[in-house]
Amino acid sequence: MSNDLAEPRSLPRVPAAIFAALAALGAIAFFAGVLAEDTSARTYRVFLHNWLMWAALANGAVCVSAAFRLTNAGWQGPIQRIAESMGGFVAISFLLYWVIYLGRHELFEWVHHPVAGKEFWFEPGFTFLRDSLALVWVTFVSLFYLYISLRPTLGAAREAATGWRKSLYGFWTAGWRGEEVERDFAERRGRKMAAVVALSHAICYSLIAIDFIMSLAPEWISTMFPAYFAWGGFLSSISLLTIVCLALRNSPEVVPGFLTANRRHDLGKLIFAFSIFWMYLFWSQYFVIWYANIPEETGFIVARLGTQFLQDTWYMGGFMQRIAEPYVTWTLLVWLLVWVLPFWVLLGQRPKKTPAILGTIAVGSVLGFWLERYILVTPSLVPPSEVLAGAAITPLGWIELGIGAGFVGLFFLSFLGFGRVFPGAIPRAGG
Amino acid sequence: MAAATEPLPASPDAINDDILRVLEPPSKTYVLGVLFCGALVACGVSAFLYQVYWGFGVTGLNHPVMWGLYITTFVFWVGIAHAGTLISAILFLFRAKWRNAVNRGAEALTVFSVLTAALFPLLHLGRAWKFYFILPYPNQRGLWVNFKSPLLWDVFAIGTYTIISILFFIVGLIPDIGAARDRVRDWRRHLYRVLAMGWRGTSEQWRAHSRSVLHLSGLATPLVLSVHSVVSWDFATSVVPGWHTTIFAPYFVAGAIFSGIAMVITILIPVRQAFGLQAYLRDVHFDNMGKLILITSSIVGYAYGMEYFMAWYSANPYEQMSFWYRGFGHYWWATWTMIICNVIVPLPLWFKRMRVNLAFMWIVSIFINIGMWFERFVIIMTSLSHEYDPAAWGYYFPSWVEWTILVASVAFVLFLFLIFLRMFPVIAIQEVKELHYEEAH
Repeated sequence: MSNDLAEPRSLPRVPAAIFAALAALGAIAFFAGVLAEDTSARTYRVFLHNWLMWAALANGAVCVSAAFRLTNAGWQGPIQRIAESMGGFVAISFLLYWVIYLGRHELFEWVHHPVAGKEFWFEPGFTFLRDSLALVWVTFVSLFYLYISLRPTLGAAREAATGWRKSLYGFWTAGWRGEEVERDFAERRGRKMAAVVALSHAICYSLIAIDFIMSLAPEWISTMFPAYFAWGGFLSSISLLTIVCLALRNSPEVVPGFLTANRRHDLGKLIFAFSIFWMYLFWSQYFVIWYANIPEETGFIVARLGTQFLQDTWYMGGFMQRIAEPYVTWTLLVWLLVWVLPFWVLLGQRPKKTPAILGTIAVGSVLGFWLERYILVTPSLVPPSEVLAGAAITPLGWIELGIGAGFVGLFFLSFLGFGRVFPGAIPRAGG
Repeated sequence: MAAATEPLPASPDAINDDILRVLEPPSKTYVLGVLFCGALVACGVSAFLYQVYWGFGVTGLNHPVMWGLYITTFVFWVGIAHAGTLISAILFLFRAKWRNAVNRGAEALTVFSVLTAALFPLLHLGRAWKFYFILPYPNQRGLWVNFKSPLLWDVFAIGTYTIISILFFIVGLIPDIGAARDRVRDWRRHLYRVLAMGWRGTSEQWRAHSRSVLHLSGLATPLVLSVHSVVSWDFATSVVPGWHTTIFAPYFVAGAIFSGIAMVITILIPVRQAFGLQAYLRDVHFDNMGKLILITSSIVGYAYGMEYFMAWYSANPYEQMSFWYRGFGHYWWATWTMIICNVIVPLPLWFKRMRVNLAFMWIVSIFINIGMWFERFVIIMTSLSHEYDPAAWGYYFPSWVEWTILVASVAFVLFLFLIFLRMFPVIAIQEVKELHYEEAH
């Protein structure tokens, strides 16, 4: 494996070209949207929901690797490295965060008008300072964890690399003490950092949920919501990890047969169990709000599930009325994709092991999370009343799809690039 | 006192000998312990009869605090009952092998805790002898239970949990009862013969047994989430400041596992010393239980922080007042006891050497038991005594009757556990043998 590691590869041409094209498409959609006066607010809104999705997902991927370490999991093999490669996007998501800062006037009402009773918390300077610090911290912790985890693989690469790579690896492997010692050290230090990664994810992404989602409807409160959002980042990363593993399973570049039936089964079990837990968190929040029926709380749900949220209309006529209201269909689709389908389809052992079924469910889950982030953001900024009055809203518009594609392109370019810079990040054929 | 790392005995027979030694005639200390616990239980029964005779006036309950120590203790014991199911069902499904040595003790604790918990709603009934009114069945009274009340959901949640945990406990015991049946010569032999249900250890029986455990684990796993979630909704579905909060369900579940694991540690460390089970309850068990405590303590700490933050963030004066009152009002001592015991005291467990230091672990576990009881006390008392209208504010402090019954409930669980220790193997023999076999090969 060492020799192989010592020969850093260039990016695979076709996938790299496709993802670069998607990234370019995203950039075009973003700039075209922002520069046109009537679509500027919409563009920033779409950017925000995509950023929330991919930033939490990337950090969630680092958490997946951390969870493998913390639980002494022995089944994952190369899957851990693939999760770490996905986690490389945290650096880019940190850079993209500043676009939200640039668009703050379009996104956050409290930038212009203080929220009664929350003037201190939503003072714009203080808000962006704490969020920036939180993101600096969580990005640093995640990257440091990845560095610790991957450092032992850099020793051989350092010897053989040339050019800029040689200086880079030399810098990263300063104080090298031999592969065995480094591996042992990485194991011990990685375990400690894994706990820090998990705690930082929970705390920092809770703060992000409060400041970038709850603040869009500042009268609404829910103690559950921040944890629910952070958990979504973790689950969506497992779904995407499954897709990536399935896509790579026949790749000539990766260890052949690394995605065994048992590993597919285990990934399927993770999606199955954690989607149940996601639904449990959702239900625990929904149920308490529904039962108490306090307007400050129900408003957030009504905007997404319709005005009949509080009524007993789960017969067919009522159902049809319900889905005719803005956003309701999309919200129900989120449930279907993130919980209903993973639960019922992945109940048995065989569907979990069957690549086509597991892959379809995982794709559905990731799409579901993309829609979920859309549903968390959009109705607060464009309330159903405005939609009924004629505001054009769709998650499938050219700006939405363009920016969404841009994030997909950037994410996978980062994934491929990470595997090239860190030669041990993606397990190779013959390794 | 550090945890042992002695190897398991070399032969399966030696494992049988070691574990079944607990069934031999008891020591004087053991007998005194049983008598002491029995005496405390008798005190509790007397206090209850006194309450029945004189009515609820002998408790501290009064307007506006109508849920007092009994409901606090009910939630506390339901929480303790979560450890067994977590260790036996969820860790079984996660293939966490280390659970093998501690699952039997945890399951026993679950059964005894849930039975004790079930007593408290009855103690809290004004007319305890009318308890069957809470069960939905066609009756000549023309009364029907209120299915919209979370209190009725408790009946179903706790009832289901009791049935499943008893089933789990009994099914897991069958092979070991078979082993005990073949060893003891006194009256217990007849009992074991009945409870072993014809166990002969054939491959057919083993297959059926493994399948039963797997299916029961699948059934029991959702219960770990559902039972304490339903208990949390007793509070969260109301519109009471400090109670109506969406995070309650997972926060209660994490707290339940936290307290349950702590109680398992509190009980197993003395058992390990008393019965010389050092080779079975090893540092890996306490290390892992310490990690579970850390995870759940972090979740509980996160929930405390989030509750306080959201109360402030809400800009709702009632919520803000409620949480200010928690920290600095009449019950400040209870709140700070809760925070210190549940969040601060477990912090040294981030270091492995503290997790395998059994003396330290035992002390921490006792602090957690106290802290988790206070958590429920704080939630109930501070919110009920300070709701919306200052004219309706009040103060509650439990009476001697309630304190006596609380102490008796602890004694009752210990009493049952001590009896269990002499009747059944506290460590699952067959599962330890499996582990031993896997380690050897």
